[in-house]
Amino acid sequence: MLRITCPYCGERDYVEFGYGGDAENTMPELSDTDIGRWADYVFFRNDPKGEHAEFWHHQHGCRQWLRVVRNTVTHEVISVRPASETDAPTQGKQVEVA
Amino acid sequence: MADIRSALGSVYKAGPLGTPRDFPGVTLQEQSPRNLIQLSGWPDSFGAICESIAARLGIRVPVDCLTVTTHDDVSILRVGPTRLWFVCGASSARVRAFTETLGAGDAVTTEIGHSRTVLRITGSEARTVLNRGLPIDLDDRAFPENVFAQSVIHHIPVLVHRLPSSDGPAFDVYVSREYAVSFWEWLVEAAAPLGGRILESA
Repeated sequence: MLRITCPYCGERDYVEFGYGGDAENTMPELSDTDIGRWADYVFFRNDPKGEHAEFWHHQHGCRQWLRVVRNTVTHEVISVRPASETDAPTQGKQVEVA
Repeated sequence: MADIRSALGSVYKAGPLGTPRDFPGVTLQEQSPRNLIQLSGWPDSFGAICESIAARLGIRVPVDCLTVTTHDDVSILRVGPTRLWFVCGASSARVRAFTETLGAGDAVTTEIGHSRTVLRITGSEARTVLNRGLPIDLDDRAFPENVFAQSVIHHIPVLVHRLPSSDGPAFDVYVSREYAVSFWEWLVEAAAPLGGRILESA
């Protein structure tokens, strides 16, 4: 069973989430004319055995995009943080406003 | 404004439900249409909006996406980090007056009361019924009163709010109007073995 700790909602079952693809795939600069880098970005994906960063959408919860590091062998979720943040990975509830 | 019509229509029939028991395990009731206003803001200015809500409406905005705060007949549910639901009774005019003071650059407010069907589930077996489809721990310690969760039941997105109640567990379930009939059919089938009754719509 795969359970993901949403930074906003807490620990939830994976059925609330939608997989959003590889989070380690970086788009080249739009001005980049190297066809090889674009082909790599568009067509090729790593298939790691172990830790892998992925985008997941909490589509039935807070509707936020998350960056999840997951072990593809054990399904252990190593870290979760909002996809909009670039800080170190975090887990658990952490909304701070007002 | 046009009246809100029930999405359940002819499928909603008040009366006994399922297995007869000495006492009903579950009671189901469709609630009257809610004044439901959604406010969506932006990260940079959302803190200021929350402070403004506290000052002008007297309601503290929850810091998490789980807690419900209430003052008079207005409740606030934080359905996303920068998104709120105002669930209002008669004083919705006060909330509307507040939202009208917000500029387009501050937040966007949308009335979504027409888009949701609200079902109240009460009784000693209310948790059992919900947990036949809801992947959320509804135990008192994990899901106390005035807590809500957005999740999925029967592949249908729902928002489940546990209400304050001195008479056993009570939940309001918000379901998108387009899925209301499908959800209702699932709910009745899940509740029938536990015995209960369906009340007239509130």
